[in-house]
Amino acid sequence: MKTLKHKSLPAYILLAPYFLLLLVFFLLPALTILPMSFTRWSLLDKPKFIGFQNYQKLLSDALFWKAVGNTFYYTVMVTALLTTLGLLLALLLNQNIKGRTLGRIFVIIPYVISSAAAGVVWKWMYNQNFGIINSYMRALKLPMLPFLTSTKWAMPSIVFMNAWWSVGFNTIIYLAALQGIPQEIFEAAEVDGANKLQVFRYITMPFLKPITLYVTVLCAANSFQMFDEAYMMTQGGPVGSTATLVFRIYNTAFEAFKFGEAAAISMLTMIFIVIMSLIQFKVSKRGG
Amino acid sequence: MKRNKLSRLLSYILLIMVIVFYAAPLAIVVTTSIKTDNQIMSQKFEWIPNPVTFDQYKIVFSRFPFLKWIRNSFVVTTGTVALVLLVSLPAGYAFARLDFKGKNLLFNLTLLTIMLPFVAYIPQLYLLMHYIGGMLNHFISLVIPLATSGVSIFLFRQFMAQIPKDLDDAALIDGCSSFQIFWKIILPLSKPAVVSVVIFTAIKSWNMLMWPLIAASKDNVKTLPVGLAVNVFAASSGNIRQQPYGVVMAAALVSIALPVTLFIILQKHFIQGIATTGLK
Repeated sequence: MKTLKHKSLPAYILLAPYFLLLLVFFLLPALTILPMSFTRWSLLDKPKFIGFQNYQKLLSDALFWKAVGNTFYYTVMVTALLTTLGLLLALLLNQNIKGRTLGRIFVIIPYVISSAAAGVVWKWMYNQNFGIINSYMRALKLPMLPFLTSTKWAMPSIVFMNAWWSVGFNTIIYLAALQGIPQEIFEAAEVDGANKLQVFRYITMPFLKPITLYVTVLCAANSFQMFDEAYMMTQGGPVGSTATLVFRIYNTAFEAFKFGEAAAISMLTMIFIVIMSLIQFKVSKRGG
Repeated sequence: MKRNKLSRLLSYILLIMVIVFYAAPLAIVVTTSIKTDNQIMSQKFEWIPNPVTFDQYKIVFSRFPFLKWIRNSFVVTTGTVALVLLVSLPAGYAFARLDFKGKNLLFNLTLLTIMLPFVAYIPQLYLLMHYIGGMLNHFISLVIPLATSGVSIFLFRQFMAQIPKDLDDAALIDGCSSFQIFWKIILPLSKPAVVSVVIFTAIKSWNMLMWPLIAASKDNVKTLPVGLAVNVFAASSGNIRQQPYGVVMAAALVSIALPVTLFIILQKHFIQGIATTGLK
């Protein structure tokens, strides 16, 4: 026992700086979410214990359920879009054609651009009167679309912007995976007379399966936390049509100063994350 | 043979469409930033404005403390990268190559920081820093959050676990301590993992929006994305008669110039970084 303790000491010293940070700036705030969710607290007065009132209020609040719906809609749409598009772009940019390096560079550049910059650029492109998309619509005598100002179009427009802004990461991962497939298998398939579609279906796809799972999980986890795009482009509007759960946490805490209610949203968000992880786990088990 | 040619042609057409789609928004930033406000409010979108003006850039630098925001973003990014390396490298090494009591518990705790999203406890972190630390509107409040995430530790652990154990054993026989093995053997061999952690932490830190929006509202600590979002963009959108996009695009271009240039210079490292460490 003594020897193990002695042996453990160097490890504890190496871990100490990180766990000090984790304890104070992760564990402490994370553990206060639950107790805080049972209070009413505006920062001006003392927190007041109100039991489950915050939860009762939220669960009967149409705007809250709207945010839940928006979050799941956005997560599913963005994950589907970025996984598919990432794979297609990687397949294209993996071919032995001239200009593919240039293609790779342009596809990945938006990934290093901040959400603030990407948000203003797309808000400008989506502008109803003078934005580039509608100015071509006008020139082609097509109806001009209220991209960010109608409840019908706002969320799909934010989803589509991600095809430009954040597909680069998935593309690189798929490119690396494609390059990791042993070349001999393709050559053997060619000798056996397999066509391109068969090669993709029976060789490329099975090889990419574990990577696809990884990309999907990562993409879903990231998009579930969407805030920046909504903050930059729509402020959650029109009529709450682009407000996500994280946007509601921000709004409730830092605009309405209802810290108790915001904590309750955080708790419910975490429950949704657990549910989502379980679904993904089930799906991946069945798929694998 | 003919079929092959056709599919090549199709690939080239697709490639050109892809390049146009991904380059167009960047081109729009550039052209809009060199237009006058009247040219911007034109029914037809002109790709090459006539005349060209640099007034929007003059406004950006004269009306806003833009240079200060750039400096602040530099300080925050450098500080974050330094702190992340300082705490994650030793921790990654301990998890990868040392045996100690409570290893599983501590590692699961590290994984928990990855699973529980930072945004879920932002209000609580804000209260903690406000009431106890008095850290808001100080650089320290912007540097800490990314360093509490266990992502880099996880990456370092995965990378360091692949280095052959024989190296440690040989060093132990020579009388090296764990610290010396870490410093002299493992650290130099972990350079690829360090490069990718530096790149990704720097991008995340440089682009962070929600937390600095809340924690650093004063100009002496305000970072570029917040300046762009709150001061340049939200403030000028209040004016309904005018489309503020000339100034906004000039500011956006200045704010993305550095990351985009660095990416183009370092693209090999960057792509390899995601490809080798992002996969694990």
